[in-house]
Parts: sequence; structure tokens; C-alpha cells
Amino acid sequence: MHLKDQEKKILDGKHGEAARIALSILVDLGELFGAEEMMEVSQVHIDSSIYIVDAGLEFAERFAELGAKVAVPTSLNPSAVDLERWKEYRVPPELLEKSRRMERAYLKMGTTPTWTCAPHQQGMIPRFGEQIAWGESNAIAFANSIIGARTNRYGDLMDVCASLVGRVPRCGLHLPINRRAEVLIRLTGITNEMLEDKAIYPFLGFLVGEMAGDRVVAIDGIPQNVGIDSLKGFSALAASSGAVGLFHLVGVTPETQTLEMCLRGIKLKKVLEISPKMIGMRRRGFGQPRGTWWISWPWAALTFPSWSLRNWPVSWTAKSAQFHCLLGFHEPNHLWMDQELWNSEGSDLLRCRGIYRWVPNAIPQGDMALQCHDDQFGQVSHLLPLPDGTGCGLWNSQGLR
Amino acid sequence: MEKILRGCCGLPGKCEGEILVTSQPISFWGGVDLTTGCINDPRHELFGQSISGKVFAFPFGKGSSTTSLIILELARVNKALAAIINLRTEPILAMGPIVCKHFYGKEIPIITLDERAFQMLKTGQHVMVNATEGKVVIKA
Repeated sequence: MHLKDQEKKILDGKHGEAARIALSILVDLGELFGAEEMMEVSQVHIDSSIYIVDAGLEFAERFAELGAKVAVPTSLNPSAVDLERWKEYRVPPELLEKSRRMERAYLKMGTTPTWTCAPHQQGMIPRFGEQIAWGESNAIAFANSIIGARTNRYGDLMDVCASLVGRVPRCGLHLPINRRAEVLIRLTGITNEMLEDKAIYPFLGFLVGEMAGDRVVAIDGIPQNVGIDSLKGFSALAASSGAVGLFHLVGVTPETQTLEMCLRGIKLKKVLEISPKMIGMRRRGFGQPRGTWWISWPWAALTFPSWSLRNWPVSWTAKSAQFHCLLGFHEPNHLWMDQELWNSEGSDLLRCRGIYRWVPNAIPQGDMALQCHDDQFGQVSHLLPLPDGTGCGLWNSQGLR
Repeated sequence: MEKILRGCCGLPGKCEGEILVTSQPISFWGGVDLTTGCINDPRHELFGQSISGKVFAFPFGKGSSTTSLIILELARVNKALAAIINLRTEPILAMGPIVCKHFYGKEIPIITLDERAFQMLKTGQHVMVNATEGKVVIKA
């Protein structure tokens, strides 16, 4: 890899040990992907801010102790707990202590405490064509596909290294040549009426992710007036079921106003179809209470990205019972959102279904999808869809109630 | 008889051990138990099997960007996999082994094979992975 003088100085330790380690890691990564050089990015979103395992805490604290400082504006993904109202939510002391240590370490590095997995609706919104380095798979898919910013799927830890040197290897989705579609997916037999139902978009996203794997795909048939919240749901699920960093919606997303725009001369390797039958099967599949769908992070992240103040999905909940569960769940550390949620019409629907409080923990652990403080039983229950797919139920140690 | 498969070096290093092979992609976050190294996604064909200490061959990763952290944690608790063999390795996956190297001094070589070579791999084979030289040797 060809390194510039500035980068050689960093590797020689002239900018401190933290920057040296961070750049060494990124150079290894660049070598692996055949990058010829490093490139600058304008902003970073760190996915690693949430306490998940001790390795993540050790990583953050070691960098902070070495005096690490971010080189570009850097936002943070959610914390594991509500750092203000931990008492009210009965946060386990060990989790609180470790989350606070994470917070201290990252703030010491100079990051901005945005605490969101949807940085694309939180102020640090990149522009079309902007070179950025984002972690958090749902946000990556959204930034690349819907906005047309350029980022690879940066994993935990990589995001931190990028923020400390403001650089990433020049490769992958940063380069226009790798942003062309290899596969076309056509929506076949799916009517306009079906596409007006917002609940369909997460399922479409899920199917697209499964079909795409890690390839760039173009999808033909999404209406041009599709809402931004539907696109957030679509992005989150596509990034959950596949390693999707970028997709193109013909006539909708900026790099694909026409199909030719995202092909740019190359021949499509494959044309696939999504039919109403496939969507139906997928919907029934979501009625099963166990499985990775319930525990993968982007799935959880769907909740917030799919929802925004201007568009509380009342009709969504009414039409699609299995999505109730998603709504009982939000990111901690957003007071304004908490208030808005309870003041909205939809909250009555949720109260009827036994959701008493919003859950402050943004991460479903193990096989529990969502947690509710179940006042009736005085314990934590998990909100899961009913096996018949007709709605959601609260499960606790005594089973379904 | 030994069989030598040629591939591309992802992350240099060598190791020898038993191989676990799947044709399905895997999500490490939520798909692998952090204390045992066992695959705990009931939808995965390797459900219940441990990747700890194994050469793990899977086509590519999927799902969350937390993958790298899970691989790092497995190394921290001494349940790391021995090596990774992929059809395609994406950055999110490679980062785990790279940080293991810089933080814990633990080598998890990565090698990519083409589909024909990948299909020669069968669970239970004893293999020698030499990512530095870009080869996998099937011993038995």
C-alpha cells in the first residue's frame, strides 16, 4: 500500500500511540482488500459505543488511556442503558457501570453523544457523494442507498480506528466502480395497493437482503412516492438478512433514476423476482417466536429508523399486528421521543396490548426480542409475536400470558 | 493423500486443525454463543456446533456490524476460531481477526478460495491453513 508522508508519520508514532495502532489496523485491512492507498473521510459514526462484551470495553478504555482523540466529527450509536433514568428502569448495576465506562471512554476521545442507531435522522446527515465511514448496518444501507453517500460496511472497532485518524482504505463502496448493480430484482404481481401498505417494506427489504447476500442489487417496481420511513425499514431489514451495504431502487434512489444508471455498461449477472406469495410466506415466518430475526441488531434498529415524529404509524400497527412489538421499544437517552411516544394516538393501541412502559434497553439480548416492565407480575417480560402470527404476547418465566 | 487448494491470502498466518464447513452465510452477532463459541441460531445448519478452535469455512458473513466485536470477544475468552476460509471476506468480518492481532497478539488467518476449491472442504477434515502462502492443505 502506498502511504503518504503524513500517514508514515502516524505509523512512526509521531501522532501518539493510539493513532499509530488505529492506522496500523486500517492498513492491515487495506492490504487485505487490495487498497492502493488510504483516503480521508469527513465524518464517522461509531457503532461500538454500546456495551455488549468486555472486549469492546477493553478496546475503548485502552484507546482512551492512550490519549486517543477523534480526527473528524464522530457520532455515537446508542448506549446499552438509559444513562439518566437508570434507577426508574431498574438497570442492573454491572451493566450501568460498564455502560458508564464506555460513555466516559468515548467522550474522552471527543465524540458527540448522539446515542442513536439512525444518524441519518439526527443532525449529522451526509450529502450525496460524501465520503464517510459509518458503522451500524441499517444506517450504512440507508446512507449508501437512499442518500448516495459513500461508505463501506464498517464494523465495530473499525469505525473507532477511522475516527481516530480520519482515514480509511480506498476500496469497496467508496469507489464508483463497485457501486454498480450486479443483480436485478423485479417486483412481479405486486399491486400498487399492496405497495401503499407501509408494513410491506420491511418484508421486501428482508427478501432483498436474502437474495442479495453481499452483492449490490437493483430493485425495480418500488413506487416513486415511497415514504422515507418505509425506506428506513427497507434498509434496516435488507442489512439484517443479508450483508447488504448498498442497493438501488430504480427511479427512486439518486444513483438509479434509470436502470442504466446503476449498470453503467456492465451486463447483469442475474434477474430475480419477488412475488406476493413470497411476501406472504415471509410474513407467516415472522410469527415464530425464536430465531435470529429477533436478535440481530439491525432488526432492533428498525424500530427507530422506521418511526419519526411526523409519521406515527397508527395504520401500520392496525394492519400489521406482528409489528406491534417493534413499537414498544426505543432508544434510550431521548427524552423528547419518550414523551412523544406516549402522547401519540398509537400508544392506546399499545396499552391495550399490555405495554406499560417503553423499554430503555435498545438491545434485545439472547432470544428475547423486546422487554417490557410487566407491572402486573412485577418482573420483566418479553414481548414476542404469537405463534399464529395474529399479534404479540407477553412472555415471562411462566410462559405466555 | 494430501490435497492442496490454492486461494488468496486475507490475513497472513498459519494453523492446523479440524475444519467445520457450511454452505450457509453466518451472522456472528446473535448467531454464536459468546461463552461457548457454539452456533446458537436455530435456523443455521450448524446449530449447536462449536467453532472454537476450529478452522471455520463459510461463504461469507451476514447481518450486523457487531461481527468483529464478537470475534474479538471469543479471542478474549480463549474461544476463538483457529482460521477463517471464505468465498468472499468483507471488512466487517476481517476486522475481528485484525484487531485480535494488534490487541491480543492472537493470529486468526483468513484465506479466500474459489467455489470449486471451497467445495472440496468437508466437515471433520484435518487441514493445514497457510494464509501467508495462500494455500489450504487437506491432510485427511
